[in-house]
Amino acid sequence: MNTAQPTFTRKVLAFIIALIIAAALSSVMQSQFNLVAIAALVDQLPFGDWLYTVWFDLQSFAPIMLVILAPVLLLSLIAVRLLQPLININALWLAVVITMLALLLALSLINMLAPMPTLIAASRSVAGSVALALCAAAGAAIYVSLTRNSEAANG
Amino acid sequence: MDKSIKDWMLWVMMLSATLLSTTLLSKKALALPYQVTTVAEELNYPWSLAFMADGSYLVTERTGKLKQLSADGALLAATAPALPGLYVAAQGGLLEVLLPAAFQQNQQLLLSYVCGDAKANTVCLASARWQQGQLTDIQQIFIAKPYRQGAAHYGGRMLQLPDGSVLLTLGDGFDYREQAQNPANHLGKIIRLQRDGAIPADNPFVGQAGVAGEIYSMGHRNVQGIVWDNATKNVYSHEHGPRGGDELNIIQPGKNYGWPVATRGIDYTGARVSPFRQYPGMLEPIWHWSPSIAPAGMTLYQGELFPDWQGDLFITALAGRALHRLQLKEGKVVAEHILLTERNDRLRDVRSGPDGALYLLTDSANGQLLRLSPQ
Repeated sequence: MNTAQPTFTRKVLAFIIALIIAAALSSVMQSQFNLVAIAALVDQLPFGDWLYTVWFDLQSFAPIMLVILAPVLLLSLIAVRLLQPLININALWLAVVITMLALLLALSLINMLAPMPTLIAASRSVAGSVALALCAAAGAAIYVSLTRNSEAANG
Repeated sequence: MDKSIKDWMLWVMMLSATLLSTTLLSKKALALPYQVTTVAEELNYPWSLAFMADGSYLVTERTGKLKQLSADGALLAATAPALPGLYVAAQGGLLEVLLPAAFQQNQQLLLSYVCGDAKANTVCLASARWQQGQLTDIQQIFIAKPYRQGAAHYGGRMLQLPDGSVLLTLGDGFDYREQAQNPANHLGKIIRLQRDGAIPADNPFVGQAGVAGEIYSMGHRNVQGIVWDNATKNVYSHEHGPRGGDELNIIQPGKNYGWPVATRGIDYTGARVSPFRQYPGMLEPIWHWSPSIAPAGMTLYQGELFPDWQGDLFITALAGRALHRLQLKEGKVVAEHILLTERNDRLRDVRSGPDGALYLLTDSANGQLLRLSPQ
């Protein structure tokens, strides 16, 4: 049975993959909140415009989420590594909870420091903030899954 | 004299003449048609300017003071008016001072300002009497609804129309942008009131169920410049877009100007606000700026000191740090000239002075009142 710990390279790769997926998910989620708000104000919002907006945001907005999520994800995963042996909770669920809280905290800090009341439009509502936090948590879950050693995976 | 020395001297003279003429020509070409003099300094985030009949100025400071300055900029009076619930934070505070046409007779002026607190604030309008450097008889005559959280996007500019009524611009509150399309409230609207705050009977939506009777036009983001052109009978207004999409509009009663459905701007994060640049039933701007210049004040020049500028719009830019001159022809912008870039000042307000000069306010803790006149 292979019980080897994941290598550093594998961890870095897993982090990059998790970060990119979390940023992309957050971007798509943010687009949905904006589009739903606009759709409520117009007679019709063509599907092509909807899709193009999602694509536009992936190019234009996702990089901002990468910058926000990188420290959030990194610090959350370090916290999971430190806390998990102490409180003996499944690493995946611990990562999900800590990353969600970390993103919500990060959004609050950003809004305190930014000149505008709320930087990311989707986070104007509790639902939008939680949705973005879930996207960040998905990134953390992906990282934990990709770096879980065989023993843990089987056990 | 040796021929080679003569030739050499001839060449030197020709070269000197060429250099001299080039320098003179380039100086003439670069010469600015105006000069800027500083009338007053040490104004704390000055926001709006009004001219008194005696040649003095009234200046509001966003941080809460109303100052009277003499024609040469000396401080004649400074008061922190006891405006009900005045709230100073970020973009909020004391905004515009408007001297209505009847000011000479009754000394009554109007002040727009932000009232409330961090959790719940809005734009309020007060009338007051200006007498001997003091404000008396302060009365709150309008409160924009609903209250909102956050200290951004208030609008706050005013314009008195020829019939005596007053237009007041109201921002979308930033976090409440969709409300600019909600006719039931005042967010993202230009409203029209009588000088006592009453709703004029001929407002476009008066009597319609579910529509705020004060509304004159809707679908605005943050209007901070509004002027009346008596020649064309047009009301021009400009508004801040997000990232890109600053607009100049001709305001017509009852019309929808699109925000946030129709916009050329995107969010500061790079996200799209809306898929639409235009939308049926929503009026398009007659001019727009992308990237944003952050237009903050506007005047229609009708003075005599600059004959070439007659009938042009002048717009101050905060982020753009310049004065934009827009040449108009039959209600359309035909050319744009960018002035005062050499100063690199954030410019808040611009007014046409009774002496034909342009007057500007810079936006800073040590703001200045500037006078722009011919060379």
